[in-house]
Amino acid sequence: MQQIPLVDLSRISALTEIILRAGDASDQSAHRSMQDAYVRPDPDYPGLVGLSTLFRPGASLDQLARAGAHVFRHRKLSYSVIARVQQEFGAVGYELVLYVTPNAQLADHHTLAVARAGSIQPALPDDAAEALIRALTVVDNPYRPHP
Amino acid sequence: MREVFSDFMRLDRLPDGRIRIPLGTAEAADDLKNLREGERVRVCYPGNLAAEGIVESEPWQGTRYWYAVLESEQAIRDIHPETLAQADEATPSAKPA
Repeated sequence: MQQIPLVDLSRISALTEIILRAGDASDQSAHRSMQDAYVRPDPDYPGLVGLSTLFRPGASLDQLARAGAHVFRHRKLSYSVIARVQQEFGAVGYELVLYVTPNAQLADHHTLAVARAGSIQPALPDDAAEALIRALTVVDNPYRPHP
Repeated sequence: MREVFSDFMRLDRLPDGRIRIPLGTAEAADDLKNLREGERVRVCYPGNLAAEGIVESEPWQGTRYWYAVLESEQAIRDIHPETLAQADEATPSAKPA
């Protein structure tokens, strides 16, 4: 596996920095969808597992939503501050890992993975999926194209 | 028609206006097992988005990586429950008065 850089979460302001994912994390199928998405490799980053997210140090929620506007057709967006994700993962024994995985369309694209005792989980465990769902807040996507 | 998963977090725009969505590998995802080149599929992010397209694959890391190709971005439909409820409200009832 190629060496993919990580976000050093100890050097960011976890109470202000935001991750954003397109889609409705409150939907009844969100748990299964997250598990489905987690295991699918990114063609640009072989060997990596995790969930597509947007993250940019210092970016507001609005800035992240705008950054994804040319891609995200989803009615809803789901977001959280890093500290909340860490808190929810920590409560069930996991750690948040963020890989820096930009692509041609999304310069702020990152891959959110889950680790236990420093070991990346090859699939998203049920309790980690529920923890992430608890951490995420769902808002309307103001920048999607109108149908 | 087979249904395959995507979270639609990546839409690769092809020069002819079509859209290519990465799906993954059959080794990683059961819904991609036994896919055939050119098979028509419904790409679905349950509760969020859906689209019909044709699948194609490329050699990748010793296996094949599958993509769904959509005719255009207009092929992507919003299937969020709120959107579907609004559509129902906007549709005149077929029941006689």
